[in-house]
Amino acid sequence: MVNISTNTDKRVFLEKKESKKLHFLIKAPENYSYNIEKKMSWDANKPATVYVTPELTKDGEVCKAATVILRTKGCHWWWSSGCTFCGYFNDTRDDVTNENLHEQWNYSKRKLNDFEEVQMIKVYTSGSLLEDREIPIEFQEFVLKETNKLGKHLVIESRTEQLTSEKLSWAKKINSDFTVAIGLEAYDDEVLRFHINKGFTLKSWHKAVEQLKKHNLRIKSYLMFKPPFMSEGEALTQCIKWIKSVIEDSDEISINPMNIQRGTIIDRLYRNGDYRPPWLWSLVELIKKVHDFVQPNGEVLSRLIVHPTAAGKPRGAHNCGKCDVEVAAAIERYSVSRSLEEFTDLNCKCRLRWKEEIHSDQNLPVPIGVGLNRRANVENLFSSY
Amino acid sequence: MIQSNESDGGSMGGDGFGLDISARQRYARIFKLGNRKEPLARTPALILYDDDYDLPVNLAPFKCSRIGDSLPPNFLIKGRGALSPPFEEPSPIWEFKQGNVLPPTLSETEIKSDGSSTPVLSLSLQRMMQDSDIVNLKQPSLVIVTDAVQLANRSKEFVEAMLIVRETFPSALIWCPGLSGPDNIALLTWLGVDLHDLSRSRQAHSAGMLLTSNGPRNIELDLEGDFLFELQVEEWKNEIVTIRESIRKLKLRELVEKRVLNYPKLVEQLRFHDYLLENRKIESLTRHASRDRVLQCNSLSVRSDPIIREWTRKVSSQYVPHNSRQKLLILLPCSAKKPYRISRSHKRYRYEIGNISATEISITSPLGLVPRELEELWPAANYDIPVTGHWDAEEIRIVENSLSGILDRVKFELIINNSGFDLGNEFCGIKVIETNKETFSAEVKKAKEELGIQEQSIKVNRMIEYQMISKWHYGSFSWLDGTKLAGKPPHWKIEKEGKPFARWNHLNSSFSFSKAALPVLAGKNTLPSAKIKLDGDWNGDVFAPMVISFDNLIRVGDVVLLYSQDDALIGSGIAQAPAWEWNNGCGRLAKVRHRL
Repeated sequence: MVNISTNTDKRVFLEKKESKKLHFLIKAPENYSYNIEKKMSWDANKPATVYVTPELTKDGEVCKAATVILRTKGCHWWWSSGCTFCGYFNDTRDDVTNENLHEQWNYSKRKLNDFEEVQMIKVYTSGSLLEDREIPIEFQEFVLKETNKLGKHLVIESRTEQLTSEKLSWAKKINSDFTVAIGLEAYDDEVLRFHINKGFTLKSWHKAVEQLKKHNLRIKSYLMFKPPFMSEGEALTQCIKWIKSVIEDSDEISINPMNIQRGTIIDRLYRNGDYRPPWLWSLVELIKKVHDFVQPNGEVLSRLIVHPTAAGKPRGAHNCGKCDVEVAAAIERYSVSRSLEEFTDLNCKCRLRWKEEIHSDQNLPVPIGVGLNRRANVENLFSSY
Repeated sequence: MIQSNESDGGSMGGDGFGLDISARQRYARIFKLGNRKEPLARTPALILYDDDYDLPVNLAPFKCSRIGDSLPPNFLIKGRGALSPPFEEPSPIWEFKQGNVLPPTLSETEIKSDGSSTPVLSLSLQRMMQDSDIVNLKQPSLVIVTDAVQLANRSKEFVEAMLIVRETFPSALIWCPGLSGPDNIALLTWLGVDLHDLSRSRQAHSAGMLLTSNGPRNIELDLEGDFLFELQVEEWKNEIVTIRESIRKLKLRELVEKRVLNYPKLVEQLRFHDYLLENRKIESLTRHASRDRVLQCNSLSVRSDPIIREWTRKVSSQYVPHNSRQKLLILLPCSAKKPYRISRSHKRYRYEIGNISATEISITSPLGLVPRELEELWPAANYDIPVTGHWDAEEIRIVENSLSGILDRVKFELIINNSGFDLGNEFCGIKVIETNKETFSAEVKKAKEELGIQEQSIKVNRMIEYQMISKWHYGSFSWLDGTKLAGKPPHWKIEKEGKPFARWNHLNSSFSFSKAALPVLAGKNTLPSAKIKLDGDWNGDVFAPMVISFDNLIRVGDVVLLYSQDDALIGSGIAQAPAWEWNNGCGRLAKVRHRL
């Protein structure tokens, strides 16, 4: 005879498994031996990457921009917790010094011919350039001063908590015109907390925006398309809302469709079939839905940039494999042309499948979505479950 | 004895909407939705969502609509007809808070879900693993497994989760959004899922495929006409009707075995489900079945069916031949006609063997061995298998394992093997004499003389069978002490002190007990029991709200002894539902047979 009241293990699953806080699951990959080994193998005197891309100036003129991604100690939020999707810890070294950073700068400068051909320099640090715990103040000052001296518009990235009146006043004295890009990711506190583990709230973002506006600095807002634990349809619904919400406070809105960085929690979800990177069709739809808000009657309220990293690859935003190149190219072109005509005549058989997936995701209680492998043979479409 | 939690109503779901069970087979059930006498719909059924195809209420009795676009989302689940008392307006209307959901990969994450619990329970693997409050919930009316699409990709965890959800919430409808199609609904129903949606068919349609019960296929326009969604709906209708018919005729297992061949994942899930039940030695399987019922064993996967495994396990590890019959073992072939003894071949064997104290065992597949005393029992009296005369390696292993298990416990002096199954001249150290049609009778006669085997009267023979059956089912036969057989075969009566005590009911292979037998059976702890609360006169049958506690060994068809709240034996009933449904289930749990 069994008495249910004597059942001390009150989990529904009788086989008790060890519980962990999400924090530890996010952090776990960093401590895998091969990741530690990889981190320490980086050359501290060379940047993570340096490249040039076409861009628009703040006045809307086509120009070239250099992107310098420095190898740093990484993000202080990662040190204590970290965002669910972030894989930048893979590119960092714990022992990078001021001297190393100067060496990296010099390397970049040499590689890009003293930045002669570019009008804009984006200096990214896998964290916040203006965060003293991550980047020595001397190097912060150097970057601000150097770009000002070169006459290049500087774009830096930052979380919100560094953007205090004091810090911005200091920076502004050195370089009066630069852009601060904030990884807001989502204009929704619940998403920031549960889906992203961002470590700051909308209140903090609004305070930072207020300070940037006060100091007359340009604001770029990064929004994430399809954060972890979110379906494709939900991502589309929410991202449209977020763009409309940040439009007034952003000179530029950059949509970052999720891509799967190795060794991250999202990588684990992806490999287990619990996450699929966005459809390129979703990005097209997103642009179409917000275009008139971003540029009502042709007036540009904010520049909308959609740059799908690893577009067309399984770990980046992708479609069926047949139309990816064409659709991704149209999306990239839109960021520069700001014209919906880029999407005229785009079509593929897979668009109907995408549409149906979105419909189910938006109307059913399927928080992780109903998405299937969009590159599987149609006959094998349903064999995974 | 399991203490039953509080419940709302015998034929009501947790939130008081009309719910009753019209048929069941293991975890698959046909719920009647709405007024019990005139149900509006039956499960398996569909749940529509916004901008979905319009389908009749009897096929799609519910609709799910999202409320707003906030996160995490909320939904309204509405009855599309009058499903709740007083059955006048479309009802029920349930608000459902999905809550934040982590995917199955992160099920070990210690985050408490903020999803709703009642009347609609939002469940995910992570919540099942981490939310300790769920087991003590008031019974929900509907359980939505929100991560089912991802969970189903992990066959073992999926079937384990579904089994636990089904058993924990026996009177709730279960819905796995986005998962079901005509190609997998048979298995999902087998696992206990009741409600389904069109998402999978819509996805197939968008990919230009017709999703059938055999999986997706292209259509032939010249033969089938335009590729309209109505074709997809027809597939749903056909499969739902087939499933309901299969449950009613207790044939769902056979249908599931066909359908799982659609995809490897489904085969995995059925196997894991079988292993899970077998390993948990779950007692929720049927113990008694109607003589008319046929367990069709056409597929090899039937060998992993827990009812088959349970038989082979018990024969191999528990069955001990009667102590008066431990000298001579006679092995016989099975027969197409069941129970074997009514077949022409076995009538001849019985004639040739005579009434002697020897153990007779038939060799068969997939059960392995069927002792003569147990051949009237489910499933030995009910199975049917295609006959080829060929024994494959697994069949040989099952027979040899079962036989060596018996011979480990009992050292027979001789085996006469007339089964056609090759055992050689010696098996487990015991001499084997191979016989055939011509030599069988003579060898039996010879063995009888050489081993000094006694005759046993027909009455003794039958009483031994009753003892063995009782031991097989209940672990003992002490309740037969002091009884004797009266009457004539095959309608034997078991009497005690000249009064009727019990009789063998050959129509469903079970004992029927007289009122006088109940105190004896209670004293011997022979039968499963339940304690029920009575308010005033006790007229009807046993329903879930009456149950205070119950024995977790109750199986469908069992005679259950009924006790009052003050521990007085008050009667007996025939279980209509297995033990897991007695804890807050719905519908009739037992038909009362005797009131003391």
